[in-house]
Amino acid sequence: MTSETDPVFEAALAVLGDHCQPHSLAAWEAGDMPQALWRDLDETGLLSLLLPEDAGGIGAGADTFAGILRLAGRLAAPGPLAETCVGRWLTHAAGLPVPAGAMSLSLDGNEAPGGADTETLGVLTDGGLVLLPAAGSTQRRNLAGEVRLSPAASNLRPTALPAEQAARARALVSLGRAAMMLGALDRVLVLSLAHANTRVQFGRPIGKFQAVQQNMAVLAGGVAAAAAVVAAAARDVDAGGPGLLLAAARARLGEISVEAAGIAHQVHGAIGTTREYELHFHTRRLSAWRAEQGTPRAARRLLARRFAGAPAGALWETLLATG
Amino acid sequence: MSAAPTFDFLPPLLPANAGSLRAEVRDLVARERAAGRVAVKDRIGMAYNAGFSRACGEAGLIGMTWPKRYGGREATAMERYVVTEELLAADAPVRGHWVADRQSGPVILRYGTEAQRERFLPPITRGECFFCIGLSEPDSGSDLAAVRTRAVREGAGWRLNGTKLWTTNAQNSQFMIAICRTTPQDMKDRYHGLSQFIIDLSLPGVSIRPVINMAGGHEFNEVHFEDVPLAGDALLGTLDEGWKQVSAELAYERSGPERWLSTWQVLAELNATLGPALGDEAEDRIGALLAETLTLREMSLSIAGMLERGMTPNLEAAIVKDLGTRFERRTVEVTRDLAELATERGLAVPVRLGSLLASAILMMPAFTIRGGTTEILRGTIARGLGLR
Repeated sequence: MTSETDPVFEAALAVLGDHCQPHSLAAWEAGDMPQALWRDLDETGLLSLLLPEDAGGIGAGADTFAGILRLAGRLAAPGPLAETCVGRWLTHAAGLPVPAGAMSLSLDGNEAPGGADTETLGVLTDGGLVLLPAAGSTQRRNLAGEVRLSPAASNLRPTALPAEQAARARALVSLGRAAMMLGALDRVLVLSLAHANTRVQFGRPIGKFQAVQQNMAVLAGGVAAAAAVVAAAARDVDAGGPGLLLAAARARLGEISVEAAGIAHQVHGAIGTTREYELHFHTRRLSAWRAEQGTPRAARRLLARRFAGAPAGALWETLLATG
Repeated sequence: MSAAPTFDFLPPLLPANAGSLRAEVRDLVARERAAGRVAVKDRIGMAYNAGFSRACGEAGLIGMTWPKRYGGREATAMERYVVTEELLAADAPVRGHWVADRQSGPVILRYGTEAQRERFLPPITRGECFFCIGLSEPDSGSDLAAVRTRAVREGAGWRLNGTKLWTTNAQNSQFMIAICRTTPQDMKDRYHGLSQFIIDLSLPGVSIRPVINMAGGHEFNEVHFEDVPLAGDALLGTLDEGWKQVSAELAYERSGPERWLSTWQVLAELNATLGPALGDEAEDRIGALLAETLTLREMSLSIAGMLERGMTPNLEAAIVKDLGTRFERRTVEVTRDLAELATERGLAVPVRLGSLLASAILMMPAFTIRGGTTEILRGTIARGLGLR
């Protein structure tokens, strides 16, 4: 995945790092709009990350996209960032005018991220893509207090899409959520480690106690596994593979996020359960995101069905053909 | 306060010839199966077959990364990884040469004298010379600095006394690389004064006693040394600096596919038989196991690639072993649950699956002990995180 040395990553870090501070997160959750952040994201071209260069975009692949979304997740950035990037790419690929500003993308009419003055809500179904005004959708807030949109019923005729484009858009949206979860896990690990190293009880930092160390090791193991499988999923999406590594990522993240949040809270003790401390921004997002733009259960089912009944001696070879 | 690591699993450098290497291994396994040297087993665990090891040697699959002048083929670590993974997934009887290929040979190549390399490496690559590892002792399990086996100078050589325990495959091995105390322990630096020796197990004074495991299998041994005369050239590497050599060895040992493929046959059989018969509940749980398999494989592959790039991802390697062995346990638990569900629904549990499961249940306690207990590994991870 894209890292610190990539200029696109540096630009994203500058913008997101500047705006996404704990007090801003609280204000956005209370109803403020992250207009300045989204204006800067647009001006630096990050919202056109996936658009081809000849269409005024950056022309990034899934790997860079995942790296940027990991960063956005680490900073709990508000609004439909992944969906805007994918939506711009998809509308352009479909020959439609690319909507300005923030847009969201619903898969099969399911709930999609809102916030950040989202104007357009794309609905991607087997029939194609429909663009709706976001204002007509039903709004709700998820566990993390983020705006979620359910598209209104529509009689508009969908714009048909080549199967490859539709599949890529679906994969990218799900990958975006996976990468954001990885970012949230990164941050949860950093906060827990800092707390374990500084919180003193019985005369020493709690991180010196073996019971705490063992749990921290499990937490770190989960984050490491998440990092490996999300990176593999991004490569798989770029290669146009059958999406099995992405399914593995969503399935693993469903479990890892629960285990990691549990340990992080246990390490933090009471302070971690308060609104004034930062941890909840990330653990609430992990709880909400695991079943957004795909679910762990659906991912497990997809994997199981792909390999069900393969003769025992042939399963390995079949599995390696996953890309 | 140390910064938390950002885990970046670099993309694996899968070799361009990965496909042909896999085909090479599959052909070999098929030929050896026809010759009766590779069985479809009904219990888990790495089997021993000297003939198969020789066939691997003839096929150039042992010591692949070593220089050609010692019998290797100067392949990359990733090429070796591909071959290893294929052999394990095929449940091939690699026990004989396993340790020499993975560990003993590389240690001799790195720390041995030219004479030692010329003596040991070519027969290892031919699949004729098997090694075992002498680390643990009756009073030295997780705490390796506590070893009491002593090598005392005598003339130009050494005299060896002590006992090694949990020595896998000693009964079929010609040599052991053992860590022994050569200088009395100094509590200020407990790891100083240990040295590695290559011990010829046919020497007088060596006795090997089987230690049968709870599954009824003979993998472990107790190896007793009583006044064993060692020649001067039995010392491997630097006197009193054996601990450093062993640590380097352990780092390479923890991230391999053997850390999550022990129960592969159970999962493959479950997926082939009961899985399709049980519907939703089986789908959900088998899907989770497949997701873990794919994830662990990516981690192992990525770490092999990082090692090849000259990096030392020790933290990541310890994590793979911890996650891998937990996954193996989970495979057993899921299979047991689904077998019970099948029985409840009046479905017969296929005979081979039942036997594999039974052996896995009995082998399971060892997964999280061998090669470093989960507690020790997590301590290593905690150290990597800056907590100790």
